[in-house]
Amino acid sequence: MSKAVVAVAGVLGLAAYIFIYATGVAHPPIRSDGFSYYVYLPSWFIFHDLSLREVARDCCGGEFPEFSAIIRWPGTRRWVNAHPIGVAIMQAPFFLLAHLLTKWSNLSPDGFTFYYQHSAGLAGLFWMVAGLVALRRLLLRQFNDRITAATLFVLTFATSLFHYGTYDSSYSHVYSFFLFSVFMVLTDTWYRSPRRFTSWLLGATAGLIVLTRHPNALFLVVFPLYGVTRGEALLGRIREFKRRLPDLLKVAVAAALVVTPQLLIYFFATGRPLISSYGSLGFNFSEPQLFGVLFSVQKGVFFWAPILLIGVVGLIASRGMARSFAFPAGVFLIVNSYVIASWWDWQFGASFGHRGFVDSYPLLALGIADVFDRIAHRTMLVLATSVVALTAAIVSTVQMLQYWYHVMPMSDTTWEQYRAVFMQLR
Amino acid sequence: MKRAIAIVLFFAVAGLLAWLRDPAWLARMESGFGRWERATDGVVYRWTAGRASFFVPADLQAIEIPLRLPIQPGDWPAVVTISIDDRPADRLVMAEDGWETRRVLLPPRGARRLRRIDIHVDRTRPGNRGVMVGEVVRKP
Repeated sequence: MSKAVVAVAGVLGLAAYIFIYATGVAHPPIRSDGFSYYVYLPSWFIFHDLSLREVARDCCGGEFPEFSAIIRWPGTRRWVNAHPIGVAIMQAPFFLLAHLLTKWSNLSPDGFTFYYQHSAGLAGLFWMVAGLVALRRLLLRQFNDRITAATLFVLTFATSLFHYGTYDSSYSHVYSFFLFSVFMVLTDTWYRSPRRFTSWLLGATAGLIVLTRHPNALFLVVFPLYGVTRGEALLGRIREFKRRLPDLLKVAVAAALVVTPQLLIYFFATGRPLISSYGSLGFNFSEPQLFGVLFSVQKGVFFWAPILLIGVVGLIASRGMARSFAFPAGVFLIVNSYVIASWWDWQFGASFGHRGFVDSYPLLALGIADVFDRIAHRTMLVLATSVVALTAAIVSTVQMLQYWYHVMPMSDTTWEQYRAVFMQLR
Repeated sequence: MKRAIAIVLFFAVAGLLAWLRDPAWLARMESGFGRWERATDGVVYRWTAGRASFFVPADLQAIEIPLRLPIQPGDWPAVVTISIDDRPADRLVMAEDGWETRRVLLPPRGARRLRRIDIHVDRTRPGNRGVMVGEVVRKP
């Protein structure tokens, strides 16, 4: 049954993707943040240039548009992209196929024509489905197929995940969703029954997580804190790390190897390997908009996807493998919420729900599954929860369509605006 | 069974590639253009980005492309390059405001039914606006 949910998510995702671009609901996929995540690929593979200078000359008259957040570094005047290379790496196989098709069909091989656009768009959909596959594998280690299916269903259709796998699929969020899911699978494997390549894969995934979105480095706290529930467990963890030092080194080496190209790119552009790639844009840690990012009408993650609250409750009271993730999940979710709430643009610009939290959905999925599992033997509760979940999915889908058709504002939504168009598509 | 599926897949991919080599729908394919607008002189035009491309029938003898760049005092001129299937066909420096129509001769028809025309501008205005392009006239 859970396999069918993943398959349905993939088929509906593809249908929605075709609908979005065949009817002109959205501009071509390489837009907004999607542009700067992607722009490395034409630069590397078409212009054979690591500096982004040649692609800027070709696409944009020598200067990247302001929206791209690609800035000239003061002092060197070289281009620095606010967004790192991880998404581009994961889009690369799709890009290369698109490049071959472009040459074959005689479209302009400039990196931004038809096949390139949809290679970037469909790559996002692919990684969303791959993320669901990985998450399914994790959930099945503790929960039965029906619980797993129900969890994947609400996560896909009662949150903004489907939106970020289709309409805004060139953004980084579904890539992080996939990497977080895989990282959790590998973390659980590393502690419970490590195989030959687990350490290398874990390190490479950790490196890609950092390369996909720098603040997501916070997520790596899941690895050392997995299974820690008490103070003594923390001491036990330190002893375990000492005992498994060779494995730990493999993790570190793999992560360092994956991250190194990004450090070299920063070094060539600025003279330093570690920089704040957002330039003058930054955080306001003294005034975090915590209520805003969690509960507000504008972009509150729990306002736009209330089903995720079940995930929080479930994590707190979780058992088994989910319990092993509960403490690190708590640490990550609290710190991550604080960081997101401190960003100068805490709404993250135009987005459906709060896109900063999409990356964290695999953690909350464990909590949702745990709650579903606890009530699975109580018929009335199952019925009530099914009605709530289905209603949440319907409301979320209608709101997603409202966002697509600009019935709902892209940001700064007020309660009056929300109420006036509630469940209306025109 | 597996072998049969592999054979069907092979022929499906081969057929798809043969179709994608020179598909008719490319005639409607464009990239790098903004929406149609009307200038104060009544001419209908579109802005290009740094690069824009479109297709024309390969059996045409020539096309005429109206170009304009509203230059303000102190602005740098822009170099516009027109290419046919990646081969440069015309190059002009736009240093003054006003429409300029460029006649581009097309080479004899080759293996494909369409030719790709690229317009590249070496510097753009804010909003990644390259050059104004009027309606392209096709000369059989």
